[in-house]
Amino acid sequence: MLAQYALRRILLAIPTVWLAATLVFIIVRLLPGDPALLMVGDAQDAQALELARRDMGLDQSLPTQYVLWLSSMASFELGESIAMGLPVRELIWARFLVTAQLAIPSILLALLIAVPLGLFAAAQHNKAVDRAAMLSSVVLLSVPSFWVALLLIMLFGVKLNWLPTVGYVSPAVNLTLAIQFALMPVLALSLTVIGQLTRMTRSTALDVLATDYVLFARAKGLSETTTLLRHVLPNAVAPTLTVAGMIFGSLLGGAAVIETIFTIPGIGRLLVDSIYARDYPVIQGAVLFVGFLYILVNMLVDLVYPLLDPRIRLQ
Amino acid sequence: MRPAICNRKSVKSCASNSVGTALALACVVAVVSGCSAKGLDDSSFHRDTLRVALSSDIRTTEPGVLRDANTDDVLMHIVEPLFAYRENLEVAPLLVSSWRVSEDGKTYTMSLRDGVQFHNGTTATAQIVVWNIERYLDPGTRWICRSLFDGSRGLEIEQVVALGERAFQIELNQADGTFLHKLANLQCNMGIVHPDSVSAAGDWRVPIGTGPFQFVEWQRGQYVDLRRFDHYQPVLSPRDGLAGDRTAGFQYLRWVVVPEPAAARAGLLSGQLDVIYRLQVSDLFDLRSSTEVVVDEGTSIDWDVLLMQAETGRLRDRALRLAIAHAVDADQLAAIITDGISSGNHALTPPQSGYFRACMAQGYIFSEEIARRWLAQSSYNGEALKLTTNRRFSNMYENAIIIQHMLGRVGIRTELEVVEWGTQLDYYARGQYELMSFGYTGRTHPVLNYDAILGDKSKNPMYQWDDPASVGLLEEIARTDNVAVVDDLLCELHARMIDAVPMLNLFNQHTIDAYRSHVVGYSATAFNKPRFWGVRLDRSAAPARET
Repeated sequence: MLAQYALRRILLAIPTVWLAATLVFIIVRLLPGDPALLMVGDAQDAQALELARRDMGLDQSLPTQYVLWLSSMASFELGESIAMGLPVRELIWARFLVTAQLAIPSILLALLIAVPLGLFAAAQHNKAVDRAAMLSSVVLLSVPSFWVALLLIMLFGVKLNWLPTVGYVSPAVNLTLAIQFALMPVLALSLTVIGQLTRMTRSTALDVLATDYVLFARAKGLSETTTLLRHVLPNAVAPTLTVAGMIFGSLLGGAAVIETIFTIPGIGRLLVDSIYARDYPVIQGAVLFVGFLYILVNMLVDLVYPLLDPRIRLQ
Repeated sequence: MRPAICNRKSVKSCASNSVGTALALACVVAVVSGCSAKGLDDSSFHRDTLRVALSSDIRTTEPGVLRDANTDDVLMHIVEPLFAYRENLEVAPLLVSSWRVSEDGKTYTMSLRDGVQFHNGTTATAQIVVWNIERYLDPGTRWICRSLFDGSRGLEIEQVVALGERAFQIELNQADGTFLHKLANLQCNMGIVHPDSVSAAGDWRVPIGTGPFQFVEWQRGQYVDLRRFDHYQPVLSPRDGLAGDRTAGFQYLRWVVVPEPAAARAGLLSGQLDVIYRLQVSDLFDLRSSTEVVVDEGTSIDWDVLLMQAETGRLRDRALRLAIAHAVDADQLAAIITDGISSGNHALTPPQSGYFRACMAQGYIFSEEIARRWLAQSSYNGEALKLTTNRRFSNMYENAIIIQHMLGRVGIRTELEVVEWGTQLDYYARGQYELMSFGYTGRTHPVLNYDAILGDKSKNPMYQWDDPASVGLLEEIARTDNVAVVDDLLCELHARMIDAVPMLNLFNQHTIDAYRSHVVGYSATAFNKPRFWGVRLDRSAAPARET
């Protein structure tokens, strides 16, 4: 049942991804800007420019370029970067793994803080703790992540000199250093997410707290903690997970701003750099990959629903 | 040096490590307690490594191909061209020790510096130089400057022959006074490499040059590592611009990719980076207050301009162009944009050039009265002119804002069109603009500067000044080696340009570099390029941090 559902969702995703890819192909080519010119610069060399265009395959007609790209997409090759001369597939995968190293801890950290906080705030509805939690959530939601990132850099990097400010170290090389380098970006990404998830958890928990079965649980003498953990949390967490899934998808798709500020070679930065360089194959490949990832993450969230709430059945 | 990670060969290990990072976050408190700077600086790698910020990743390790300024910056520490520029923009021999030119100016006989070795231990020979030049001229190499030497723009290298172990001869189709400048051209980056840099199939492998640093590793999107070449054979003259002694004074050079300027500044202030360069004036506010950071400023040969589409549209009207030229106060503009480092310059020749003469100081007098007078004579009807600019290069954007205000004061309305840099470059290449705030990479010889703007606009819309008589003058200058004649011709060319107003040269850009106080011997250059030979690290008082 579960496998059939997953397969159907994946098959349904194919036309969506194709449509997204086609749109990206068209939009990218509608953008003014010539990748060959960006490469040659102000060298005033028409011959070099022509040669660069030919090398990049830009001298071919748009339909030919589209067909070539579709065929490379179908074979999962995704072409070759015109700015870096590397296979797009390998480029995207390597950068995605770096982004995942930020996105996974960020969403986990956010869930670890936001879910208990939202639940606790709901239990303390309209009390000081609730108001403080909501105020912090609104503040966190309102502050842009790049500003948080710069503040963190100034505080922990420059003033206190505790953490490195630029660069990236893989856990494969040095785990301690990797964590030091990842701390600030992960924190900057998590803080905004914490605000969103806390509000969502609190809101749904408040609805659940008002239900008859929670009243019954309390009436039969269960402690408040047990009531919250056994009866409120499982019923309130599903919408939070949906939102968390969407956020996780977008984080995996690349937190371009954070990656740029902290000099992390993730997929978001790859995409931004490729747009600047008009590196068509990379833009197309990255958007396609991110779109697919988004669909995949949300599908996984859907698959988790029945495990948390047996009332939900996969249709 | 640290091993490569997350590269194409080790993606699987990275995948498993993403989970590792997630789990390890649980140990955050314990790790943070060990995060002090003192815990990171205990290896010789850190202590004898200079870390410099690159604003974007390099594009390739192959000189002169797929290039950009950052790529050139890194590669010029690995490879050496035959000639290089002095600080006064004159050409000096680098890989060459001596040369002579035939009577007719068409044959150059050169001899290589004695004892020069490649990074693989092989001695540099004339045969290898010949192989390099032939390879650069091969269309398959896709060298960006091939057209400067293939006859398509006049000059052609007809033949290169080795005359012995160290001597070789280059034969040209015509005499060209700028030939050595073209060989030394920064954008061309005609570095001499060992044939093993290329595979048997002709594909590029790694740069094996003769420079003061040898290539170690390139982690895409992260850093490029170089190591001092211990068998480097220097020129005996002292360091001068990009010429002279290039001996490295420290062991490792790491170029760290830091795209965000604020992060680069923070990296410098925190000690994680040693040098950041090509800064804007607005970057200085944080840095000047630090006692551990030194700021070095100077005038570069790059130049800012206001382009005017004189071929079509409303700006075909010379009176309107003159009104604009007189309405813009280039001195004030330069003072604002460069923090007083530069002053206005309406000439294409930079003031620090040996070719700059008094005649070139003649330009457009800033006078709102004169501007209004020309405006009254023009066909301008009060409609806004479109002024195109971008936010990627803050100098171009700020120039546009100030120019808009200056033009407004004399009654010329402008509408800013702010586009992405790639889009602006496209407009520039197609000639699709009215006014455009733009900047050119500086060339060292006036002929090369004029070459970038003077030509047939119908064939190449990137040209700004379409005047066959001036093209003839330029060709005459290129053929002449008589200094007095060249001076006169350059003055005449400048006067013609001022009269025609095809564009408005504003000022030469500033160069601002900043470095930690333990970096000894570093200084900014007129070429707006960092130079790490002749530099040493004195960390006796300052610990280093990991990057």
